Amino acid sequence: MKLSRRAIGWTVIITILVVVFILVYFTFDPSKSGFFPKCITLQLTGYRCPGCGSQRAIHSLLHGDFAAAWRYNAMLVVALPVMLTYGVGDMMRARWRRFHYWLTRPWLMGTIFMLIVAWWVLRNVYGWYVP
Amino acid sequence: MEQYWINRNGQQSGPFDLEQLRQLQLDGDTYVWYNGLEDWEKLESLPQLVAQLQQPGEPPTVPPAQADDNVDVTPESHDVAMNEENEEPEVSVPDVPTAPPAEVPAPPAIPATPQQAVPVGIPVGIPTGMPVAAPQAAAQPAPAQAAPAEDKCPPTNLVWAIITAVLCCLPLSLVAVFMSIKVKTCWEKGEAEQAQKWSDRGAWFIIASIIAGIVVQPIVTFIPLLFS
Repeated sequence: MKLSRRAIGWTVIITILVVVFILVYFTFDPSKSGFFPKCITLQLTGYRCPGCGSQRAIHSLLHGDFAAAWRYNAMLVVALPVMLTYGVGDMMRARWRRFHYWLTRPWLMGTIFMLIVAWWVLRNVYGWYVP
Repeated sequence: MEQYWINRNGQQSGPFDLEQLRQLQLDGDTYVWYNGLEDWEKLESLPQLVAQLQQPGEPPTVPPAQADDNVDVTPESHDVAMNEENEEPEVSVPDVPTAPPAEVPAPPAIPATPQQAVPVGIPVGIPTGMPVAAPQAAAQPAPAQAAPAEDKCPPTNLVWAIITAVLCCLPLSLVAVFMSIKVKTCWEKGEAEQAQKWSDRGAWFIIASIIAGIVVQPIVTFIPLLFS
């Protein structure tokens, strides 16, 4: 595979960002530290957004605590592998064309859209979150 | 004019132009190959071509160059453009309905990988427009001027839309998820320009919502402190 200089540059930058991200979220507990950003939607509206609890969930995941992560934000636990799949699918688009084709079926993307909206509504209705 | 090769029931024929292809009344499971495809594809997996076959008389719509991917390959596409010039005399007579070329062109064999299909040692710049030149030029990656294939669809930005919606607490970017669906549906209807527009809109929407998030975040965090 021929990699352009640009591709290598991006790979390095993204790798560094991901490593920093993981280190920060591994070291600090968002439920105790004060410097993590608070959810805008929650502060403005008082309702939980689909992503509320993600930071604590990531912290729990990095410590191997799946149960806690599931309580903080169940959808994040499900969505991470999905996002990874889509990310790889996008990057390998030229090579795995059939794979990319199936990933981008409109009905599949529509299902993802509906699932996020449903999760958003239901977690507020049923209180599926940790304050 | 784009040229197409087909393979029906193991019988390979071509090159055809779009008009001839229409008259052939191909099934969805006919294998098709043209300049820009890595390998033979079933017709049904090339919605863009199917759309073109359904609207007679219209020239094939070439989608606007894809902002992201094409930057890296610009030098190569120059090469291919030069090859294309050399083919010109041969390409410009597709009006003659059949007249199979003396030397049967060799698109990739059905099970072959593209690498195997490249005829080694044939000089690239044959000026006489031998039909051999067409598949050979195509065996190199020729993204810039190839016919719209599935992999020329503008990026859907779906990953970024989900990341901003779920990880960044910006549910507004769910609109961008909707836009990425629009990209695909427009693309499969053959509306390449519309697809590109939705792709751009989605990208800008995501960027805008991230910037808005960064701007609003401190405001929302500090204003309650003033009142407490």
